[in-house]
Amino acid sequence: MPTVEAPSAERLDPIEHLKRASLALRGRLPSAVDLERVSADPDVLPEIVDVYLESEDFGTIIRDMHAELFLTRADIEEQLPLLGPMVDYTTEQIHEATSEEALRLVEHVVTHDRPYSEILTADYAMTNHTLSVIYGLEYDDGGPEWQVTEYTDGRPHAGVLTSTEIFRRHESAGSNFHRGRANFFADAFLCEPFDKREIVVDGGIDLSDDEAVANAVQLNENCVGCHQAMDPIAVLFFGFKQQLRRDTVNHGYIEDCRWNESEGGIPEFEEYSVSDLCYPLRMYTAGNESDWVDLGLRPPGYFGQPVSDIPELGRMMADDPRFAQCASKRFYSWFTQMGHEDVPLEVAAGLHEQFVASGYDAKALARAVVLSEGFSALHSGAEGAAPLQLVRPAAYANIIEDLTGFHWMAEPSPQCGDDDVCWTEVDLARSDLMGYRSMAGGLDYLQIVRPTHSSTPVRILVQQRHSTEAAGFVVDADFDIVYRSDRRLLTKVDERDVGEAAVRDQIVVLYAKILAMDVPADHLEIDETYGLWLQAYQLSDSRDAWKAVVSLMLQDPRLTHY
Amino acid sequence: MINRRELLLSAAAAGAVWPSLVRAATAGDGRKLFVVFADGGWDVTYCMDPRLHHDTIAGPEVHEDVGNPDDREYLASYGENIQVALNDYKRPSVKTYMDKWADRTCFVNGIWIGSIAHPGCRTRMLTGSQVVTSPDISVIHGHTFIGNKPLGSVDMSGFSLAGNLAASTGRFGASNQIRTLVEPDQTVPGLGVNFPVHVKDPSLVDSTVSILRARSERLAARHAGSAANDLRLSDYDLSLDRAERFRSQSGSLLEDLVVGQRPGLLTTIYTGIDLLEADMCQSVFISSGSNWDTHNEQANQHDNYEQLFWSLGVLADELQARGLYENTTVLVLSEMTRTPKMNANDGKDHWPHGTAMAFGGGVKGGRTFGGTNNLMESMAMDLASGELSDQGMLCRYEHLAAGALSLLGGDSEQWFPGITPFTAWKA
Repeated sequence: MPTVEAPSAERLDPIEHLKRASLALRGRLPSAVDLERVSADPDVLPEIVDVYLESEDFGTIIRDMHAELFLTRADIEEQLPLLGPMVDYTTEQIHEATSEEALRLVEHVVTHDRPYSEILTADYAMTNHTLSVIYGLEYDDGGPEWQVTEYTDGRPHAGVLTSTEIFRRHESAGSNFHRGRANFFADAFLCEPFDKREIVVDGGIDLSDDEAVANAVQLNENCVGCHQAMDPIAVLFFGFKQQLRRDTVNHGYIEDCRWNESEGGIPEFEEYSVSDLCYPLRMYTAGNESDWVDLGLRPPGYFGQPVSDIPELGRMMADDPRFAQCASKRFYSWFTQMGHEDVPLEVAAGLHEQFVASGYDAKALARAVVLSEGFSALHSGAEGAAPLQLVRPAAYANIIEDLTGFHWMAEPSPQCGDDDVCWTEVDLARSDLMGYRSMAGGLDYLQIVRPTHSSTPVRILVQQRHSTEAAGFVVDADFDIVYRSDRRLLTKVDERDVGEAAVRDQIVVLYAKILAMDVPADHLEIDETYGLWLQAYQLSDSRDAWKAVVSLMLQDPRLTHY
Repeated sequence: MINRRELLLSAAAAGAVWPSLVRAATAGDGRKLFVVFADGGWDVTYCMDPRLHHDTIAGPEVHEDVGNPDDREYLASYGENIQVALNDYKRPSVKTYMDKWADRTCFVNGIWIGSIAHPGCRTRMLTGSQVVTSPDISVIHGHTFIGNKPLGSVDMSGFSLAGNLAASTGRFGASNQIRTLVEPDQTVPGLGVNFPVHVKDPSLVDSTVSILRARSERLAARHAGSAANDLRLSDYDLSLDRAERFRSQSGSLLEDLVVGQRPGLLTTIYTGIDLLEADMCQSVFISSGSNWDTHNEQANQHDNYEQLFWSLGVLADELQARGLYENTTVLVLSEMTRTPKMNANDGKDHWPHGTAMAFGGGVKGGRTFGGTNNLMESMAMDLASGELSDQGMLCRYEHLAAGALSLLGGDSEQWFPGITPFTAWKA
């Protein structure tokens, strides 16, 4: 374990490097065993990293990373209603199923050691039980919670390029004709969004006039630059509905899932069959795939090369050198908390080379990042060097849960009634509708779409509240356990042990458990902490004194920064 | 006895129609910023850039009910050169507002945005740049003038962009969770009878913060020495200090925010004013609360304008009543406008030219600056006078953002070097 006054160096020391790697790859602090191993022999770090890459937590990290890309986790947005066959489900089940669908596919690819490019080419989809009911997918109740499946609505399969939930999250509207979706995929997987370029709409092109737009994007020199590349990708998505929201589904049920044509059209949904809007929902209509022809749009293509369908698009995109470059930047960005736009070209180029040579092995890419010089830089001065990092909201919750057993949960509606919205159990650290995720620096995935990698006053307040609740929980729980060895944190004292020596010894243990620091009992740090313990004890009792101390240590900036 | 504020809040909570209320005002001091954001893209032909019965532009008259003689669109003039579209049946609060506040209000039409995607337009209009990690003008202004206030800017909408100045900002949460962080007895719904698990004695909070400061110094001793690290370290220290000041000074200022409920427009207006008045922050950013993205339901623009202007009237009245009007500037922004013509779904799509509205302290009222042509395209203007001019330039989003900082008393050159600010709106 490191001493308090760690030596200054341009690189993190091995223990600091281990902590950074563990939080990056697992969202958790390293175990005591791993700390001991690295302390004894720093050269075992790559070995430990390899173990991390095989852990279940790494799959979660892969999902978290791609959630920032796909933005499918917005719980502040209205969720699909609890109607029809979904009436016995909860809103969080629906949110979990829909928000994770595409992310589970990426996780499946990565954790099964498939080439990362398969996220654009996979001939399958992923589902859990809830999602299978929502979309009528085949699901084996005896199998794993999330399993491989296929849509039977006639769509081709091409990894996340045919993910229902990505298309639901990134809607198309009006005369947009899926261009926004083409832009989304170009941004996500090529790091080259079309909408960064400035649009000059001149000559009175009315963007609401389909014919005028069709002419302009073919002929107007200001439009052609982007549209000749964007539109041929966009037309491939004509099989997907423009949108499929909660209110759309509500409308389907209002219409009793049937549309009597003799009673007239349903203007706002006229291009949809009402039966599509009732469970099982139908997001794709193969019969609409060629509707772009009637609109005079460019035929399908990928930057000048003809394309027949989405799977071919996926293959071409995956083979595009920009795909691997972009993935390299995004992995480096995630693990170093830098903007992907700020990743230096030479860093990205080096990673790109290794990534391609590895056969698009995402684990190898992650490994290369966390063992790179930039990742383990002590100071951020050199180009590409990672700055001092802050624990992300989910990682902070993991740390608290691992150390204290405290899960910050709420049960807004323990029993669902007739409402078509019913949140029964909410993870406050990992959600926004009632939780604190974006207030603690995370995304809400709807309006807040970039993480905040710096301290903010509200983030501090969230950590204060979270740590105080967790401290209250773990101290009560520990003192309720007779055998000290069975406790989580208070393994050296009982409630009645209020002598200074005993208290100091326990604080030393807390330093080791929480901060991974080996501090002697007479150190200034222990003096400060003991002072707080004593102050709280004089105000109340030893139980509250330990709550104050544990809360303090869970807020320590050396725990929240790494 | 129930006061006007409670009456309005309860009426709004009950889903009451937005009444067109006005109220006498008094003068005061203390220069602050209040941003109201109309998310989705407003159609400015319904109000500030009016086009009625136009050959190439479909204005609000397309929804007139010929059988209802009260449902009529008409043009009205105010101040020096303002012309707005009114409809006393569908949007009566626009007239009510303009009748009272037009002389203190200005519009800037024909702002060139150069994008038709919501995120890109939002970034451009709010930050004056294309970089999504840039701070917006509310955040910059708050950061610049934070002084000893707990926060520079408060975001009650989720739309504000904090960028690298996040350490001076405060997000209040989708369901007013902020109260649970400063009031120990407040919890989110369903947290259960066992919560809060533990409430610290206030004196322990102070001691804890002191120790955390000392530990931050030790962290800095190891990691300081490069710009990015130094920024994160100083952000921590500043945030620790600001969090404590916000907690200790917020008192009853947040009492209208009901934990577990989304804050309504009126609630955010009153709370925002409370925060500005108490010097808790320099800027407040709220949402208009309506969905302006009317691809399929263009007629909703009527209701949106009615609610927006009714609320702006309340905001102006309240600022006046508390003596804050002269030293508070209100910016009303949307990320884009909508196409000149209707689409096939009875809606309008995105249009890359925008309008901004401003009123309050420092604003040259009674004026419409800039303009659009018969195709609703931005026209060149003199950025200093706001007059249309072939010798001028397009007022782009960066000119507007730089102009906003200048209007608010900041140094636009510091944030937008080399960019000519739009200064015509300065009184």
